[in-house]
Amino acid sequence: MVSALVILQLLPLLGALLVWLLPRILANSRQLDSPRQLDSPRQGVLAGWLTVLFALAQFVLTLSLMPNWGVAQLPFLGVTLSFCFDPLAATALLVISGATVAASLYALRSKDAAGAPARGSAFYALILLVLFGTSGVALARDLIQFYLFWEAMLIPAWFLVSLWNEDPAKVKATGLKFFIITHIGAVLMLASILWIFSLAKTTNMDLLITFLPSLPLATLVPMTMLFLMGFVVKLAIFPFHTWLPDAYTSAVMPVTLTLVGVLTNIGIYGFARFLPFFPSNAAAALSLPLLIAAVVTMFYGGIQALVEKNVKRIVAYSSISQMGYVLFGFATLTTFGLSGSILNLYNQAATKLALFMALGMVAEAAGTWQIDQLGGWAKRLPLAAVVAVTAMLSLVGAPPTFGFWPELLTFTGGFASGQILLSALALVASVLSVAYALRLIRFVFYDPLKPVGNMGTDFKSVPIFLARTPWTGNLALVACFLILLFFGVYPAPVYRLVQGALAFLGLGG
Amino acid sequence: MTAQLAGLLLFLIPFAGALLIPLVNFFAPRAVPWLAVLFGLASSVIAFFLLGGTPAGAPITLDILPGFFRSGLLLDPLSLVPALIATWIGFLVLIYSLGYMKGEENLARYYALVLLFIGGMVGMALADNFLALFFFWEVMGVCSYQLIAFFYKDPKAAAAGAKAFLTTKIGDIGLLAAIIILAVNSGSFSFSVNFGAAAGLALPVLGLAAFGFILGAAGKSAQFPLHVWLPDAMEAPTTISALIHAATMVNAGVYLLARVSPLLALVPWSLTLVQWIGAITALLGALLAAFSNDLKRILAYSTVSQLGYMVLAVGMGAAFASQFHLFSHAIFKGLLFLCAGAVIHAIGTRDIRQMGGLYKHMPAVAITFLIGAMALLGLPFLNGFFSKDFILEEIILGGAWGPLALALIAGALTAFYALRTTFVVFWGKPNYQTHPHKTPANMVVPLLALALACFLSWLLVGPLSEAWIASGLPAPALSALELIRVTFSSLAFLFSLAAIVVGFFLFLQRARLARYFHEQEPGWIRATSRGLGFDDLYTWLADRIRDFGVWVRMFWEERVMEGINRFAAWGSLGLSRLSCRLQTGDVHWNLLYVTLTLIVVLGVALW
Repeated sequence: MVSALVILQLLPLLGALLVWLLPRILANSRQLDSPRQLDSPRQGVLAGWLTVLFALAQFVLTLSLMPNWGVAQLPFLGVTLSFCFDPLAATALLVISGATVAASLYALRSKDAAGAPARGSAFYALILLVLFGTSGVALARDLIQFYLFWEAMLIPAWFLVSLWNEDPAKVKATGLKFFIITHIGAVLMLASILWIFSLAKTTNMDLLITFLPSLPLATLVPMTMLFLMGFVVKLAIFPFHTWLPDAYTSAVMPVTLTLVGVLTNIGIYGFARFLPFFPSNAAAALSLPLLIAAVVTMFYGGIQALVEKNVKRIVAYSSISQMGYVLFGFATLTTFGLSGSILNLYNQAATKLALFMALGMVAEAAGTWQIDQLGGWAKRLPLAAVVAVTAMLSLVGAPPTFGFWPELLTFTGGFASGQILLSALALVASVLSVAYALRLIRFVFYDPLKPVGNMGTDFKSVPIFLARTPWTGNLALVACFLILLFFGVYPAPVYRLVQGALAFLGLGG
Repeated sequence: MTAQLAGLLLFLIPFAGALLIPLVNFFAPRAVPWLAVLFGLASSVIAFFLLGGTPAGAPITLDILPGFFRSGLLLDPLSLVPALIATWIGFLVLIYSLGYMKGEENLARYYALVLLFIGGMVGMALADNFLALFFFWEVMGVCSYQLIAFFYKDPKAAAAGAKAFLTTKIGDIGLLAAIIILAVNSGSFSFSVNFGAAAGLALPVLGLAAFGFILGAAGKSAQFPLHVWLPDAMEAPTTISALIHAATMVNAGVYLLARVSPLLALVPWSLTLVQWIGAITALLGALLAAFSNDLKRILAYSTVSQLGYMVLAVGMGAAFASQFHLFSHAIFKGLLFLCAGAVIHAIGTRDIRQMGGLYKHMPAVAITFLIGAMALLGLPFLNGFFSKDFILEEIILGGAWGPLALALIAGALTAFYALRTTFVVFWGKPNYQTHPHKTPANMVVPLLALALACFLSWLLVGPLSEAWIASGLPAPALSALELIRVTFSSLAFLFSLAAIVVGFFLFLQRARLARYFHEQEPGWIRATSRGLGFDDLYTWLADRIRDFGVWVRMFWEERVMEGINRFAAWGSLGLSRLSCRLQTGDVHWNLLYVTLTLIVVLGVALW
């Protein structure tokens, strides 16, 4: 068990090293004029496939380990590392490794806007490092270990956001903004961890679970709040959301996919792990403020998505709004709400990856992100259109797509917690979601085809269907599409896993 | 085959078709329409197993959310009527589509969505719990959105699809809230558990749930004030209009109200609310239909109006009467839409002022349209006559005089617009420019079938009421003969006859009316041409929300939130500049700092 978990943990790190070194070793055998050529697109293809392979290996390993839940202690350099593999950790690992597969498949063949640097082996190594950090976050059973991995995931993400950027003018600003704001959250979390350590003299979570309830409520509430701040910032809850639209929009698409599929989801995971970890009376005191923040976030993100003109930014704001629903589910503190939000780990990843990839294909072909320059793309990219519509439906929680089930459970949690008014407001916010999602689909895919750049409206001359977009991207797109539809019709398999996760957290099940 | 299995297959077959068609389209696109018809035929045949005499069989259930939600089938007459209507009329629409949609692009998408739509309606009706009902309810919403926007390159169609989805979504959140409120209290989504637990609920909670159900039904069945999406939905292919109006979608709201009528009965004000919503919608729809010149819009408003009657019936506590009218309406409105489709197909316009005299070119269509229109206005011995009078009778029995008055005015207007439309389109002076196309045979066959059904369908009242009573639903014991006797001896008959006469009189005076309206142009007539201002009001509201969004986006987000970020950045930069001043690099200053620090440290240590 120990060795299996250590392999699970180290696999992305090994992958990152290999991805970084292998093209260099191969290149050394040939003569190169300048080291810049190391990051040439040709090296990138090899690195990209290695990344896909390693992320896929982690995904498969997680699947094969799945029924063997357990905790493993590993003495290492004088400290004891503690890994925990339970259904929740498995859920997180499946989602982040799956999302990394999708992101690197998409990255393999897509072309960035002019001005963005080429994606070579360094790029893919960083993607795997993010996966390494997030895997550590998912597996950690010790607070300091948790924090170290949390930082280990932020730093490569920062490099990705600030180096692979479509917007050279703002490259420093967006990268720094992303790093500083998310880091504020991380530091608050560290403060809470140190506070806990000063009182309990341990950071092992299994020991802390019995210790924490002995603390007075006046200590517990600020302690819990400080800890959760790390995740609140990561989810981009209002008013800590300002890093998200800039980071999502200015980064190149594959980086955005990593942010969406890996980093945001690890924030959801953090909530699921630590909200039940703190004693229920502390969480209860925070329930109402978090619920209100959640509802405000839903409306705030939604209304901006409704008027925004940049397609990528629309999805970024919609992501903020969706995270409002996730937080709402958690903040209800009911098993319904919690299962809804954990289910959202799967759903949000699949939905938003699909939406971003489909829109990314459109933008790549059109050469613009501006919604008023797009239109009629269903004719040119039918696959992207079908997937985008499905993802949009999942985003607004309409059956027969996956998004319906988390939304149902979230609202059930809301009404079950007795917060009728806030739950009703959350329902009203879903009408806003429909409004911006329909606007997005309509003006990108429907309406008459608008000529963009050197392309005329004569689409007959363009070859039809799949050939027009890279097959690796299409593969990732279709995978997301099938997930959205299958679990939309029959959510029982993932719901069982979520129930298992809740049982391990000591709730319901 | 057991009834349970037949019920399951009734919606699984269309779903299988919807799944298969996109795949078949890859290698045999020409087979797609026929494949769709085949799937429609298969479920139509299966439907006969549900008519009675089939053993019920073991309940078929599926664990959707293990431990929380298990879904099953409910086969009673209330659920079977909408399911069978969806299957059979859906099948006719599929046949008709063979001719009507010939040569259009994206036929795979069309047929897959139509099958999904039909399956969604059947699934909705046969669900034994609120959650599965809602699931399929939303599937229909998705299908309607996609099908209304089928000609997506046309901005009007794209907008109409979005409008339909958004408007019905407003109703849907009410329905979802009602379902969740009930489920949270009873711990289950099933109808029977919730109806049992409802009596124990506090009245405000029950009232909230009742209001949610009414809102949901109003959205789906295009009831006042959420009726605005249905006229715009006419941008869809006419076959889809027929499907939405006769077989699927709008019937769902009426079915829902009939299904939850035991719950509504527990909340005193809710039935009154339902009555007035129905009556106002009936009048509003008829009024707008009378002043429309777009053939499909006339029929759309007419649907709004007829649904109003059905909702009114549910409000009177007469679920049977509402379902009986739903049955009749599905037949004659399906017929009218398919006729309209044939006309539009032939001359390529929807404006009735550019039609006229089409009887010469398409007598079969003209005669069947006339039959449908007569059933709509309630001419004796057609199905619409019996079912509408049934509703009026129930209103009189219930003593709801206000809604009755509205319903009767609506009846007169119905007679007027039905006569006007038929006459202008088929017998008036020809005004069209092009040479009319011939109507293909596969489009005529469904028309004849439906026209025949307009004469005969009311005969089924006997078996229908027997089945209702047998499964414990509230219904009067009626045979067809009994229905004739009761109908002709009732006060309602006189009233509706009077309404038809008034409508006929208005029709005769239409030239004078037109002159009056043209010369005087009273304010309200201009308002009717704009849908009585509902669209304007909602557009205004949406614009205000958008203005607010622009303010949030441009001022709050860009200035205030980013301002805070900039202020923080500027502040820390300033602080660092300030502290830079201390780093002069001058040894004297540094020695001073060292000395000062030593003094402070020593002082603290000694003290």
